[in-house]
Amino acid sequence: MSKNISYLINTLAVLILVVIFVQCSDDSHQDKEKAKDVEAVDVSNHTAKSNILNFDGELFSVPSPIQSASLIKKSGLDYNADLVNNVANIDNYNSAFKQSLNLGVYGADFAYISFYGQDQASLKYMKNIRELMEELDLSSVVDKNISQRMSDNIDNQDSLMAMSSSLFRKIDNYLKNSDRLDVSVLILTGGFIESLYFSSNLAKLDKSGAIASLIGQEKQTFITLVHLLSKSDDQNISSLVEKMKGLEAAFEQVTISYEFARPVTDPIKKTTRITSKTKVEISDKTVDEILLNTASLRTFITE
Amino acid sequence: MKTRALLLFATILFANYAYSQCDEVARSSEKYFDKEYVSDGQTYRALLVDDQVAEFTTLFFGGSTYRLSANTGTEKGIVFTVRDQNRNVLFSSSDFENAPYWDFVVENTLDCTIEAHLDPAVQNSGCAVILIGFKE
Repeated sequence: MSKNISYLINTLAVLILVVIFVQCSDDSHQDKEKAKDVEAVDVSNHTAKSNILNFDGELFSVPSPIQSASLIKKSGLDYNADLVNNVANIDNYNSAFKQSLNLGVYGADFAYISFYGQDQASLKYMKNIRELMEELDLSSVVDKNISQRMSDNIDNQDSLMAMSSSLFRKIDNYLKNSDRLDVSVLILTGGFIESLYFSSNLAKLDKSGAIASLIGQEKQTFITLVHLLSKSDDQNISSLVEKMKGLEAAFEQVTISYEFARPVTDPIKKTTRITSKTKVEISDKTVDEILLNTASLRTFITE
Repeated sequence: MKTRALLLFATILFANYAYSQCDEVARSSEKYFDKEYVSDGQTYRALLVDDQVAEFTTLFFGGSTYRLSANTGTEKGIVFTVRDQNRNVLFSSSDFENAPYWDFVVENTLDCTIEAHLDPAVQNSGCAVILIGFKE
């Protein structure tokens, strides 16, 4: 029913547009150019909601917390229950700012816990995710049985990860559709910082250096994130950016060198193998500084 | 004045229409992802007109395989290109009949730039949606 109404509205919108453009066809050339400019404006900037950030229509990407948790698990390190945010902290999150950030944090926690087969704990974190979604008016994004389906698949890690990643993609799509980019960016930021908190705490335990390298490789992502958030004039986000400055300075000490190699493409398999080489130089001191600053930032987010 | 008001109204309606169009394109893009690939949890989307280019950087982890899909809801209506940090082209779908998806086996971690633009031979405006999935 609602789909039909939506279709009707959209069709009506197109019809009205056609009428308007026909009506405007006699206007001056200058007006026509203006109309073209208006049409080309990125749709993400059009609505005037009170707390909307203007990210200049920029697209951005942060590594999936699910993939980060998977890489930590692959490194062979043991599960550390002290690293995840306390489920009881949810009572402290009364603003949309904190709720958005911690939706991302609990999402990363859920991924980390689930990869280590902590079934009952992961359900508690999913409950928190659902609660924060309700607070942020995101309940309509997923069907009401998601918690039950996750509970039914608690032993099937692949299904659990697929459902979780799909949930967060639907949230992201819904937020972008609703012009709530600020919430979208804060969720991604919370998830990214929580993943970084895991890896920076675990780096010293990983003798192979793979986790330290993983941290170093996230330098550009972090710098891009700070750059995007800096564009906001929201007071809460400005204070978050201020807290990120120390971590940014620590990341600046990471050196990444890159050597291009021609990729190999197989058109039949629709696959390209990328063989370029990247070398990350990150000292123990820098890892310590990243840990210190990440912990401080994470405390700001979660408390 | 009247024309301006109408244009503002039209813009809002157009945006509403564009949003629903993006939503449909995002949904239809899911068909390129089977259970093997886990979504990165994000939807990259931009409303493109004429020769506008949407671009973002992303981190590909070594040892992983990524699937990228690019879609506008019109068959072969979009071209996507993957570049390295020095802007070298690693892949362009234009070399493969505007393939709607492609897989990337990544040996070493690297920052990449993903670009997307409309194929003017197919369409002049539309919502571009890029999805990324990965498997270890």
